[in-house]
Amino acid sequence: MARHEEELARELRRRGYSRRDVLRIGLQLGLGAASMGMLLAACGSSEQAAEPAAEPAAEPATESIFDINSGNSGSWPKSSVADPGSKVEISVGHTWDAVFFERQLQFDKLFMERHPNIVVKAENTPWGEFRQKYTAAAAGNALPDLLYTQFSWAQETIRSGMYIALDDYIAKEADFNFDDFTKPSLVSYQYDGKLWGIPYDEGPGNLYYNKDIFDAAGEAYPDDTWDLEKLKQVAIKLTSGEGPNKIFGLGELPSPGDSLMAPNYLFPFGAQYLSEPKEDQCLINTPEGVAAMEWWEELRTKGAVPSPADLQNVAWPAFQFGKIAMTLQGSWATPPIAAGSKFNWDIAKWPKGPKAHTTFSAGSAYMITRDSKNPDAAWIYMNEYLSTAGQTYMWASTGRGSPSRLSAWPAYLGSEFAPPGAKNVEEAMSKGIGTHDIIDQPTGPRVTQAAGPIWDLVVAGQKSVKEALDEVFAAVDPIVAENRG
Amino acid sequence: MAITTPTPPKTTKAKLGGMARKEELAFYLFISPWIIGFLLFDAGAILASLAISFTNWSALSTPSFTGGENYTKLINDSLFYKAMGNSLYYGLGSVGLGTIVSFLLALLLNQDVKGMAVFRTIFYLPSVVSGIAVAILWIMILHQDFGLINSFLAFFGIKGPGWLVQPEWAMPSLILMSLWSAGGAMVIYLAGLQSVPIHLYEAAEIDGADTFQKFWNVTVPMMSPVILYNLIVGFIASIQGFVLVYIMTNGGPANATLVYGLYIYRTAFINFQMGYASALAWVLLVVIILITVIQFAVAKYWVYYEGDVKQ
Amino acid sequence: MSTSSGISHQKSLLGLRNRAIAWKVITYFLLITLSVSFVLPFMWMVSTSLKQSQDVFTYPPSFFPNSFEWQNYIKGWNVLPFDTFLNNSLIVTFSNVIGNLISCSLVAYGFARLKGRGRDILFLLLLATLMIPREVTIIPRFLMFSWFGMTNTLWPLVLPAWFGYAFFIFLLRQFFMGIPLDLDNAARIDGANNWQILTQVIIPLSQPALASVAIFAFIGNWSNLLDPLIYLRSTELYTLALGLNLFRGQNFTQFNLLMAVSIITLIPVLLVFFFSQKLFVQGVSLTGMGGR
Repeated sequence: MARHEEELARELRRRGYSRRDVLRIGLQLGLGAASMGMLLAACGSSEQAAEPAAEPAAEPATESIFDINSGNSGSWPKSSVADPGSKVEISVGHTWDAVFFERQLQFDKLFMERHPNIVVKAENTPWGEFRQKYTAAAAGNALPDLLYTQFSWAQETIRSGMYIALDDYIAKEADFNFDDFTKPSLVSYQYDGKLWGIPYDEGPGNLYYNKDIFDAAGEAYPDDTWDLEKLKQVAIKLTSGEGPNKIFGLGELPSPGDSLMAPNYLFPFGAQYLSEPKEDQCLINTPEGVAAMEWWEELRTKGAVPSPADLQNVAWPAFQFGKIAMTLQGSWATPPIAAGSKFNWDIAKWPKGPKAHTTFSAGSAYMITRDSKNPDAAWIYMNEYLSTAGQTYMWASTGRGSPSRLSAWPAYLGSEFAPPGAKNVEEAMSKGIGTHDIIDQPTGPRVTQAAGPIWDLVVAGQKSVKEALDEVFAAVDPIVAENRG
Repeated sequence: MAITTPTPPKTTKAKLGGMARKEELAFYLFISPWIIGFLLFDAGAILASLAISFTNWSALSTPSFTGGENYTKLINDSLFYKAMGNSLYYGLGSVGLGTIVSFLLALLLNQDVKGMAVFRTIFYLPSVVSGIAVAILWIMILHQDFGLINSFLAFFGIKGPGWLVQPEWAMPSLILMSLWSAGGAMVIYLAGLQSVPIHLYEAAEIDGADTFQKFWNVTVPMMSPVILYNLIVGFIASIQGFVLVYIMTNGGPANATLVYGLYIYRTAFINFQMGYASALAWVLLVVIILITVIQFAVAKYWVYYEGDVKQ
Repeated sequence: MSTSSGISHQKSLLGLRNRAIAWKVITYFLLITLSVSFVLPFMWMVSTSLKQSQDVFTYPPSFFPNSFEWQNYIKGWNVLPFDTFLNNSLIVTFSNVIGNLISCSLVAYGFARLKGRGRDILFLLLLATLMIPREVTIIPRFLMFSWFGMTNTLWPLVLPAWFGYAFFIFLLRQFFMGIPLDLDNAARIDGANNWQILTQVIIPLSQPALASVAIFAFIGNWSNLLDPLIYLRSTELYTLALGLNLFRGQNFTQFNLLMAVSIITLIPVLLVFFFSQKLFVQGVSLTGMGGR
């Protein structure tokens, strides 16, 4: 054997390789580069260079909880914008969960049957990663033709010039029926006198309650006679038990870290968080504000509210657990509550306060982006997608709830997925209880990020309400000063 | 057996002799894949992020140059110090404890015991199990009212703390959780343990060494290159890590778990302030470089390479 | 005299044997108790995958599903084109594993065995690429791949691995530096060049390290979310990791389906790990502790 192989063999024995191993390696040495073959064999099949895959349009799955033809009213609007003469492709950026995405594909299929020259590519991105993906796309001028936008970042993105204004297109449609949209639904998408997006939903916050807990305590269910004082009393009354068997009366308390909190927790007492609509003053530490927050804190001192961990993370739906008697949730919480609860439940309106009867309302919209190469085709799609027929098909008949058009509500109320108390949701919108005076300016995220941690100390019992609210003012005021321009 | 290091040929500082030049050529040839990749994929992005840190870019529209404004803002930003402090706390805690735990686990798994392959796979499980499953499970275990740990403590009449919801306990809870994904480093230690030559143990035994002495004088020094690797890489990874934190506490309560990576993510993609986020990232880079250089400098005193090629 | 030493000799032999047995018992005890804690999340995943939606979150948390909904697996797999996702993941992952093994070995050899001007600075530069958070480089990288015309293809996911990855290069460099130079010298005297030393001396002796790199490259790419998220737009190109996250909706996460499909995607990873143990174990315990 050559000297280096001798050395190697000795080294291998030194390391405790068996003689069989040494022989094996020696054989391989004779073959030279066989060590690569050894590695490849361990890894398995040979790889192929990656190729861009061919792209057929996605087909809806054959087994779905939605029937493709149910909810199809058939009366689709005919846009005055002409269909393209030859095939064009538009892409739409969505963020649906996997199950609901099937419905989206069903809609697209029916749409493409009505408009053979428009090919629709639906892009679905997980909710948690949506902003990251489309921020990158925006930077690279690679946005899809249509894009989902939530109220909380709508203003910021509108001002950056990412979208095209829709007023001209709307004016072209004789049957657009602008007044059909609930007033709060349009607020976040208007800027500079123009409309930049069309909402598909706008839902109020409602009081979901656990009927079994009420029954066990012999309490009457919430109804239109309730006010916030009654809510508080009942919440305290329904709180019972200790440790693992504890039942909480109310699911959550207000925090300045929540952009939706003002209409439900402050307005009813004549207090405010930020001045609306400009959001250029912080008003939470006024005497009314302090009084209101202290009023709510009594529920915490009486132990009627569970710990804040529940509020933060989607992973832990506390109400579905059956340990909470009442909770304030947006109407979009209906599908998960329906899917996850093993008890009887229903929806009531958020009760009135001494000074006002309000609840938050919020929603999301679709916009046509500036990168779109086929804005006309995109408009045709949007016109149908967000029409009464479209909203009925997508969100009303499927029980997702709270369509932005009043005309789509009957379909929602009549769908098999709607809860018994769904009428309360509709009345909250139609009777003006739901208000969009929530935090939606570009400064919003920084405001709540600054305020939330301060309030955490109140929750932990380490700070008084007055102290915390003064600190919130000090932290938030410089941020909202930007809006005074 | 003495280990001889080849002596480099005598050279002047400016010119290399023929052999040394040939070796240098070989050096560059071998590392050329990385150099090319670096120039193609990394250099541009890294320089771009530096340039962006001098603007107020939101990533949504055109940037405008703002000079060092982001950096002065950073110096006055209390959240910057908080996030840096949290990340250092988390990084040092999880790497420090993690190194010990994964090393011990590797030792445990290196025994010649029946079914060891199964045990090793089980120990490695937490590292590959879906992050959200881990997060949910731990939220359940650590829940103040419903959680397993506090229910267990309640059995003995102890009122358990609010693990993830009390500012003092939140970070220790996360560090504890990170220990449990020790599987990654453990695999590397296992590989390292396999490479320690037996004859050294034999020689030690002949000299009358007991188990502990064999461990301290043979195992640890021979494993020191790998330990250094895990310390450096572990620190770099944990000081940037934030996804689990994001899912579990979102930086709360009261910013107790606002780690630096989360702060950067939030600034870039929730607040649409890519310029400031880039400045934050570059400051982090400098900090990490400093700490890594220190680690390497100290390493000279405790890391032993059998086949070291001195420059 | 001889009997007492004989007895004490026997006693010490017995003592040794008892120590060995006690050691084995302790080892098993530790292994089993720790295994229980490590296997917990996996058990939770399995039991969740078999539950109906409303049973997922209950109090007290139950590890035993009320009913065994095996169809969650089928339903979850079919609700999205996971077959396609699996295919894409396989392409990307295998390419990355092979690419990394080849390129990182080459580069690590250079840093470990060869001298050149600027070696230490380049090494620090190598590490520095790990130290910048990806959140701020992802957009410039995206812009660059856009410019190459490679967005919405698998290329950005596949190409970089063939140019090395700092984590693995560093790891292999540490291992290579633990191999004595005598072997290199001996080979050189026989006329071997660098390539031959790498392939015939270094690599055969680095099986455990290379196996580690292969495993980490496999798992890292199998579960990588950020790159597929940013570069891919067509659902047909999505990888498993991205597809899985689609179960997490804005207001609603279908945990039972998510866990079912997660388990299916986890199996290959575990199999890879389990069967690669052969490359770790040389057949002998080398810690010098406990039995051989």
